[in-house]
Amino acid sequence: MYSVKSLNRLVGELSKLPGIGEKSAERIAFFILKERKENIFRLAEAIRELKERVKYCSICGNVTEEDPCKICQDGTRDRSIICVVEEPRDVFLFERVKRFKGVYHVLRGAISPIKGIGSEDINIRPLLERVKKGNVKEVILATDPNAEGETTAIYLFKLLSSLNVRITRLAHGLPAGGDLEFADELTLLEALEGRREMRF
Amino acid sequence: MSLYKTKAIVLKDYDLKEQDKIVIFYSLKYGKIRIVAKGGRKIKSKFAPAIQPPSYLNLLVYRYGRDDLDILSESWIVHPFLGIRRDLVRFAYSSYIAELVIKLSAEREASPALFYLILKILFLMEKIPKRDLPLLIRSFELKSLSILGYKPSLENCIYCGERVEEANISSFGVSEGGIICESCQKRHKRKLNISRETIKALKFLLYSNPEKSTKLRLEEKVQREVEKLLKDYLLYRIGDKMLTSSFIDNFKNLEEREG
Repeated sequence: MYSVKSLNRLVGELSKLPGIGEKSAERIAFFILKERKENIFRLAEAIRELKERVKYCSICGNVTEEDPCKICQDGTRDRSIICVVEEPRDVFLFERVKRFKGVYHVLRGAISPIKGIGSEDINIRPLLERVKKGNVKEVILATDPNAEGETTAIYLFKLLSSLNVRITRLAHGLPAGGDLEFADELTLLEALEGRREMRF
Repeated sequence: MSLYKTKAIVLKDYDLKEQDKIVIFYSLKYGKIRIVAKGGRKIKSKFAPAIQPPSYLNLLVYRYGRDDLDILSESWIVHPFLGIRRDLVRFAYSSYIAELVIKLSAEREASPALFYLILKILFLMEKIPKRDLPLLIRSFELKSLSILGYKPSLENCIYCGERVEEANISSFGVSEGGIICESCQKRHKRKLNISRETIKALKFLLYSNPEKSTKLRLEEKVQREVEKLLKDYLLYRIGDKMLTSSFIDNFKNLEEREG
């Protein structure tokens, strides 16, 4: 069978990426082969730069090029409210909303007994230290609304409940848009439990 | 392509590509199955609320062929086991059950007995006092081993086949899977010393219904011996450490610290 060593190597490396099988990897490899050299070198440089420059913030655990990250350095942010999220991409989502003016704490994972991911495997200890230092009035638990996210939220609640801090959880229930008739029983139950006064 | 319906219990889920999930179920009709929930990771997914472990569901599934993964078409929650999901210790125990079933059972080998046993244990797990959970789990371990063909021999010596009186039992062969009589014991070195009370407790847990098992009151020493014996036996049968067992202790300690 005909093969080109360097092409095979690239296909092998690309197919390790999430969501890319061997066929897709082959297609991308041939695209790279066809594309102008400078465009591809720019891509390679961007990957190299990402790996060399991006690190985790020593305060919140988010991805950053400078330590502490821009959000932790920002004097206008309210440091008394910490929003705890699972992944760095969740910070980008909250920032897009432009309403949250507090700071973040990125766990970089969630507790999952069946996957063997425990509290020691994620960024929990620095959160405790941040809260213990004082000046934190509220911790918002914004982990995913699934079994692992819930387990992590309950675990954090138990750890933090003795530290004299308000602990809140993101609201659960009906998503924006769509018809009520398509809601499942569990989502409706969560929405009922989490109902609040109407305010205008 | 064909469609099938089955009752199923969610054991585990993991991410597939950007938006999908693969869910491992234990189903009534097909035993352990892996099914793709398209869009299962999306916040507005119709499947997401249902495919959370250890939910009990009704499923409608597309089957494409022997080599392809089945695709979830519809799911209805029969019971979400919120009482387990909202409690760390109970959730850790249910994860242990799920891990055990995943590791012990073969894919697409139906066992209605195992399905209804898991269901019964989960319903009990949701309501019984936490102090009774360890015995409920020991009962599940013994009964599931028995259903899947790994029942430990507790009446007859595993070597000579002779019926052994409880007073004459002093060891259990982990790799052999049963008790060893006094005369055979002298000839075999690999064994675990056990007391008469432990054998009695094992028999009770194996043959009584799970509700009764949780009412059993054992001396701490006997309870520890039962736990160790089953842990060693499972380790030998599965050939792999149980990831979830350390979480049970970890979460228990956290709750005790919290008071």
